[in-house]
Amino acid sequence: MFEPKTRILIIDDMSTMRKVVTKVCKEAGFTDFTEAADGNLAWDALLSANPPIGLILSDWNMPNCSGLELLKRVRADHRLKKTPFVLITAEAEKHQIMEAVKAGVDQYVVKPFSKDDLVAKLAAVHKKYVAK
Amino acid sequence: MSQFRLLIFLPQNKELYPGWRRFSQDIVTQSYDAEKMMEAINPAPNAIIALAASNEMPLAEVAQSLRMTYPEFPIFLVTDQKSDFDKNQLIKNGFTQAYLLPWEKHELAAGMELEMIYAINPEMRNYRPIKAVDMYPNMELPFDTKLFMPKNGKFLTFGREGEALSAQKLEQLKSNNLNTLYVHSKDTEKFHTYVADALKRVGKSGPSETEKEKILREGIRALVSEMFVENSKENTFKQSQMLLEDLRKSVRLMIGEANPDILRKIEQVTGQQSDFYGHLSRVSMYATLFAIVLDIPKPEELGVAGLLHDIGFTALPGELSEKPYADLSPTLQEAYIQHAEKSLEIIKLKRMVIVDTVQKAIAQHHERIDRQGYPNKLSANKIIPEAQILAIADQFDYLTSNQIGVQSLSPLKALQHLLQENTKDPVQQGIDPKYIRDLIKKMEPQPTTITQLDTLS
Repeated sequence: MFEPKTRILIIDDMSTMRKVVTKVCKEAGFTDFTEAADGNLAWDALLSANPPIGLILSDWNMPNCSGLELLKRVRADHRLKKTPFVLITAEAEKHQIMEAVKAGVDQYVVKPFSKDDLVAKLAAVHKKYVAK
Repeated sequence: MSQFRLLIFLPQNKELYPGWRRFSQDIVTQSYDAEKMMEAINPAPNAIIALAASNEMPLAEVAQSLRMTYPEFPIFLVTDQKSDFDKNQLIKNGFTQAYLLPWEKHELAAGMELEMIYAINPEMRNYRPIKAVDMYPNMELPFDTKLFMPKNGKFLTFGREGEALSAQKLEQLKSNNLNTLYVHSKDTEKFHTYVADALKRVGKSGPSETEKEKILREGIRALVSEMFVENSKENTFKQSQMLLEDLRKSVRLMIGEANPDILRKIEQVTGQQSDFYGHLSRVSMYATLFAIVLDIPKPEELGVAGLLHDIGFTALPGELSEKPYADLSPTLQEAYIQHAEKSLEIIKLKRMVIVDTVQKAIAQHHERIDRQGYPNKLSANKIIPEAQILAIADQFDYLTSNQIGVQSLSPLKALQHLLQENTKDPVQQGIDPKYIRDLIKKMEPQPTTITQLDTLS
């Protein structure tokens, strides 16, 4: 499993949702969080973060730069392309998930999700990166 | 009684409507502020109410964030925002239940009363209410039944698995005005099988004709409303398929009793296993059930009409049933609109004896009250109610069964769709919406107890 001190970047245009996701991450044992309100701001945070971001949790639907666009940018960048990326989707967006899989997303969680849901998804992501 | 505590989320600058005090004297209000939402409430509430935050936040996001903040609590949405109210979606996004005011104020009251009962008896959460009329005397119970005593708040065992309830014991319930029993959720399927068995028994033997019919009608009505419960998380229609199979048998029994050899003749014409027969058989069942629910005098006649309504296709080119009407060539369209008349010809040819109502229902099942129907462009006052019910059943089957490229709707959604189609433009009406409205009203789950409640917001 990911280290508890892994720095997590939480991206959502709704501040309430960022806080709620942070809360669930805290319950899952994580301690270090950074927030961004859209893909563009997230991009800046990714490039400037020190220590670097170890895990991205991004909402799908956001103004300016969507989660999918951010994913594509991250995967195309040689410095960032190995950052684990998990998309947070709503039930209504679930059918689009193949697009994200093609673009290289590691996992996705459907809102609302519980601590256990998140832990299970992250364990799968971690396993994948260890195997690499 | 223990205290019933509510945590109510309010939109900014809104005050709590005093009507809520009817449910609880112990109400904590909170704004939709993220920080505030995270604050622990002591002692914990029994239920959380989200009053719609008008345009502050989409309802689905309210659902998601509250569910993620309070994973273990019942959370109810109460709103009068009709625009983004999609109950199934809202429940999928995290609400335990969602109520649209003012239409659903009785349901809300019933939901709150149920939560109050749960606050006293938490184990009742695992039980589901059933109507006491669904219990039949002297039939062995395949499950335990429980009873809630409103006077002292106790939740007692009423009948044990293996026991046969006497008529006297059931009568006692009625005389004490207790109309609801409870069955453990894991026994839901057993309950369905039990009712279907009981119906079949009633259909074959037992009490006097009038009483038999009364029991059959009440039982079927209860089962049908059961089918329309849109359960949390999953569409219960799949589960209802089994129930439908039992109902189909019951309906066949009714038809068979009234018309001994008609079933055999129909099967000769259609071939019993085909998709086509499936459609006829389902429409027959739906039409019978809808007729029962709408108190049409002889529901079994609609059962017969359903089995025969499209039989004319067997005498028409096969391509007709393979393509949508709009994609057919003009010649084939011409043939298509004859199918109701062809049905009547076949009935005559095969010497099936049917009453006048059945004949008219078949002839008119594509007539429309806006006079745009076929084959005769009849006006509304010429179309008999039975034909309209047959038309509802026909379209209902189309909407709820799996058609290639079309997503099937749940029963309630299908009726709501039909209502919308037939109310959006008063000059374009196929079916008189009063029938559909009445069906929806009678099929939606009935609250077990009702408290009068004024509009809340």
